[in-house]
Amino acid sequence: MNWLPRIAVVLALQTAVLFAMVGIKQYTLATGIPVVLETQPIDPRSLFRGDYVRLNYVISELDTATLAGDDDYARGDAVYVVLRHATPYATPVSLHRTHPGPRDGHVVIEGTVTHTGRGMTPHTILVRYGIEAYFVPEGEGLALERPAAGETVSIEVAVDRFGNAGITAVLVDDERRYEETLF
Amino acid sequence: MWNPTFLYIRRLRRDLPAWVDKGWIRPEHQDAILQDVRDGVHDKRRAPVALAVLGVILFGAGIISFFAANWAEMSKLAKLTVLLISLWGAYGTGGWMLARGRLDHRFGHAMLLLGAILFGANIMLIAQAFHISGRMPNSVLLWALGALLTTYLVPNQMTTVFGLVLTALWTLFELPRGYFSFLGTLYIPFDGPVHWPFLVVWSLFLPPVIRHRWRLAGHVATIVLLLWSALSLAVLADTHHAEVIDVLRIYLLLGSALFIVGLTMMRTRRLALFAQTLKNQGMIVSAASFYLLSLRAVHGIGGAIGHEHLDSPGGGWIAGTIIAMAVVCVLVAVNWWQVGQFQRDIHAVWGRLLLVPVLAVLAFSMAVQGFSPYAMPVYLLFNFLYLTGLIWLIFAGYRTQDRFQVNLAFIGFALGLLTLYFDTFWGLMARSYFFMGLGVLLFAGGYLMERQRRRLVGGLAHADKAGGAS
Repeated sequence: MNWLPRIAVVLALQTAVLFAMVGIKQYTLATGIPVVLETQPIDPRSLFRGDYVRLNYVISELDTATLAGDDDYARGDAVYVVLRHATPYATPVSLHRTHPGPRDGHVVIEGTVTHTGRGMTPHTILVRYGIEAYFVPEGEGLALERPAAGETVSIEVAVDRFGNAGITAVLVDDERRYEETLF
Repeated sequence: MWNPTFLYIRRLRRDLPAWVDKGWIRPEHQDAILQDVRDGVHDKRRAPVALAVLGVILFGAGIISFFAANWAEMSKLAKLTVLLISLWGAYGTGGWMLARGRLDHRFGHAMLLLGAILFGANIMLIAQAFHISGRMPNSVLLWALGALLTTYLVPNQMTTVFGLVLTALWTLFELPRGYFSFLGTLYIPFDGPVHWPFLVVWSLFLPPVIRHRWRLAGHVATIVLLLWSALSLAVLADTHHAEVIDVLRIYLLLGSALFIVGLTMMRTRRLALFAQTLKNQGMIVSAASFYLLSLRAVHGIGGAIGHEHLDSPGGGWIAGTIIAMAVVCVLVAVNWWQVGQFQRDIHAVWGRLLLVPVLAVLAFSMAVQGFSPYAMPVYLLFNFLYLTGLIWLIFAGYRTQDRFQVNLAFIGFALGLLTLYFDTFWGLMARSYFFMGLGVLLFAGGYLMERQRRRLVGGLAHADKAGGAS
């Protein structure tokens, strides 16, 4: 049997998957609208770990009772969060089970519900947006882990029209410490 | 290197013409016989292939750690290029080796395994380079699907086994965070729904395994399925606040069903290769479940596991157990009908008769669960059945010349004896006497059991030789 054409198909499909991963992310970064998100520590001892920064946002924990839109979510559900452009950080306005469409002065970011009320307040949901990790060069994670007193770390993300988000910059005291480029 | 098989081939070359002259074999069969023996030698050359696989795994690990250590100095484009070249290189070398055909094809397959490993490494490292923070289980699923693709397009057992292991890893990663309190002290982070999608991906690996008669892959597939089923039953128990005994009853029946399916498959030529695997794994699951059912604590009689009072089983657990019982009965009937056309050995008849009290005790234990006065009788009944089951395993293992079965039964005996000692004397004796008694029990019991086991297994070896000579 001639294996080469079959191996070529395997290789082509697997390479296509890898290119798709890169392509989707680059599409988001290239076409997305930038917003700045406020970070908050999950646990003061483990905000940043090793050479990658584990990011937890203010919008990672949402109260369905205080926000407009849909209320009922289960673990694994998709949730679309409407964010209003504001200074210094974008703020959540409403939650939806389906994409509510574009709105002036707002961006819509898609997330997945990872936890609901259990162990938390009844109307709280935890949401993951796929922007919770940022890899930094070896040794620099520790410097970010312990920012000087009064220093703030925020993240600029680009959100595309489908709601996908990608990190474009890490800001320390509003200055771009790390910036994403295409290649 | 000296090899008795090569000497045998040399002798065959000399003897075969003489045998043809005597009319014992036909002239056209000479080459076929020689080729068959040569193939046998070829198949036995496993050490170089095992080393090649080990080398491939180490090389893959080396590449990943090299990238991880030198990541910062490289641009994104350089990272992507290096990753893709390593992936293409592995598959290309594998394809080249397979196409040349002169080298052992298993070395080519080892390179395909490296390709499958690097596909996953590429997923993780590209995600890292481009800050793609997806769900870890999805990454592992994608990796497993990559291995599945290779399995179908370029069938090879190594990648299939690797894909099955990834599928197991995927289902473990899918366990939602939480604390699972099955067996009291054992915490598994699982308190969500059963991971049903596992079955879809797992079953996609089966057609190539059966078609190509890959025994190792069949073995791994069964182990992965058993792991998933154990986790799923545990999850169901935790979600529905069931007792440990509710889970063990079903797992015992599941093991019995596997054992009977294995026995039945032995009569089907195409599936016979996997029959022994299923039979052995069914035996292990049944014996382990029976052992746990013979513990006092599982029946709410105190101890480290479980608690003092058991709740009655829920409707779902009763229905599940009854369905499992019905499945076992149907499988026994099918096996009985099939075996009936050949022979009905006394150990098989006893085995089926033993199933009657086992099912009766399972049903009885369900009916009286939650009524404390019945806990001790149920516990004693399970112990009696555990002992009887082990005796039957030895009897049947000896009759069918199955050493694994005999050895498993002796391990079961040793475990049962130790547990009985701990259960009975821990609270009754002073600690010093307890440990002295334990030492004597281990020494004397170990000596006697090992002597008896060696006698039985030695008898089987003797029977093997006698059978081979006749």
